[in-house]
Amino acid sequence: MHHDISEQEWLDYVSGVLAPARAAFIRSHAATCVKCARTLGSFAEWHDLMMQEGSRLRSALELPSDEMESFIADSVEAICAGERPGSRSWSWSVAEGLFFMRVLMEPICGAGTARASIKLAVERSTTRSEGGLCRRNWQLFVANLSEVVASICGLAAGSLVKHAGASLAIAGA
Amino acid sequence: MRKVDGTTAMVWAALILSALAGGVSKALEFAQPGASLTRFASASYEPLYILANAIALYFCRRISRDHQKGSRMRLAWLLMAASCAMALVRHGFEWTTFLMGWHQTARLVSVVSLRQIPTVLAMVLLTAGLIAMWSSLAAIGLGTGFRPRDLVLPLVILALMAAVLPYRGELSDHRSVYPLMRYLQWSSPVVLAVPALISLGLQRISQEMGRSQFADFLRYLAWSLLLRLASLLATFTPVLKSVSVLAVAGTAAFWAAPWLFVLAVEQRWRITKSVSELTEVYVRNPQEAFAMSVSNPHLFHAEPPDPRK
Repeated sequence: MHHDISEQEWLDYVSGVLAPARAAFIRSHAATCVKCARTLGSFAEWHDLMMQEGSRLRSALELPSDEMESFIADSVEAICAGERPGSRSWSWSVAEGLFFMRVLMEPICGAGTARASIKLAVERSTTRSEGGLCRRNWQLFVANLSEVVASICGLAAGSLVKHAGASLAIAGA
Repeated sequence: MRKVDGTTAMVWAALILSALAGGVSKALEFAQPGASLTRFASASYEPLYILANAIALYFCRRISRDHQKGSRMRLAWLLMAASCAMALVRHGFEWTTFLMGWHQTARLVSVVSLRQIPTVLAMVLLTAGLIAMWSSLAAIGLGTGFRPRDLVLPLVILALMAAVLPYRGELSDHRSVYPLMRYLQWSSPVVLAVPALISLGLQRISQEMGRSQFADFLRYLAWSLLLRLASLLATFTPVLKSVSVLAVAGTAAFWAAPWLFVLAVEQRWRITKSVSELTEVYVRNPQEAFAMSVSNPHLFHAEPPDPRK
């Protein structure tokens, strides 16, 4: 976090779901701060990339199983061909991990459900003393998210969330 | 262009054919009233309803198994499965009594009128299932907000129900020798309107969810229940049923409504099916799973696997 803007806020801003007042603050701040303007550019690029893959995932849910494997490999290749902003290693930041989970869930249960489920899972997995979601509580978060998704979309969807979330290598701090 | 799954295409075909058959049967009533062919055609929706409910029951059972024991969503699907089973009993009973010729005898107002029991039970079970589903969605914060414009459609439904109520005497079992059957028959506009009202809540939730397979399922579910109510209005209100075009359209909607329900549950079943396939890839080929690939740059340009192997 720098200049009082968290990674989650950047992601919500580029997704267009941040509260209007906060979004206005980020917009005006990024117009004057070079560092934040660069961060915003990076997140916007990352957002576009994930949205493209989300749309491909949406189509993939219509695919027969024999086409599914090549789709996954293509998606991995497409995402990894682009430079991932703000990262010096190939592990994921918490915000990127959250964003990936959201993109994974959207074709199944919609953006609104994905947001609500993630919010609920974050609340269940974090304590005030921990200061939010981090590498330490990521697996707990994934388990809670899987439970919430399973309660709506079924055990199969919960299992997908569990497997996908658990396989993300979340960077420390 | 979005691909249409084979099963979905078959359900759509059944829906369209049922609607056409319903329209033709009503047109026959206008052209040859009282003819034995007309009577047979008018009752032929029964085997179609039996088939639609049997398919819906199959999907509801399978979907219920995809939910954790004791969960509200599992309860919702079990209640909907029970509703389909009860509808099967009702239409099986009606079709049998029709084939035995009891609809032309005094048994129409005695034994045949007992069909009101499974009819009402099916709707009550469906309503309970919808409430359980809504409560499960509300538990994560969906569908709890209220906008003044959300009142518009419920008010329309209540107005439609009020419009049908004075014509309850036109309904089939109003002359039953059993008072309970008459009361149950009179309650049918209400037992149809209540699930339609709940379905509006689910339709509202589908908007909150955003574009997705689950939202599609909720939309189809809401439309199927609204179509049932609209078809009841068109087929039993004397003013509307005297207009041949409206009567034909209403009958077509009545014949098509159960298939729209099948389409809804089939849509929900597809989520389980497609998500299971995707999970299988994650479990079977961790090399291809997103995050593991991202954490290992050597895998980035791995060749996609040959699905034939």
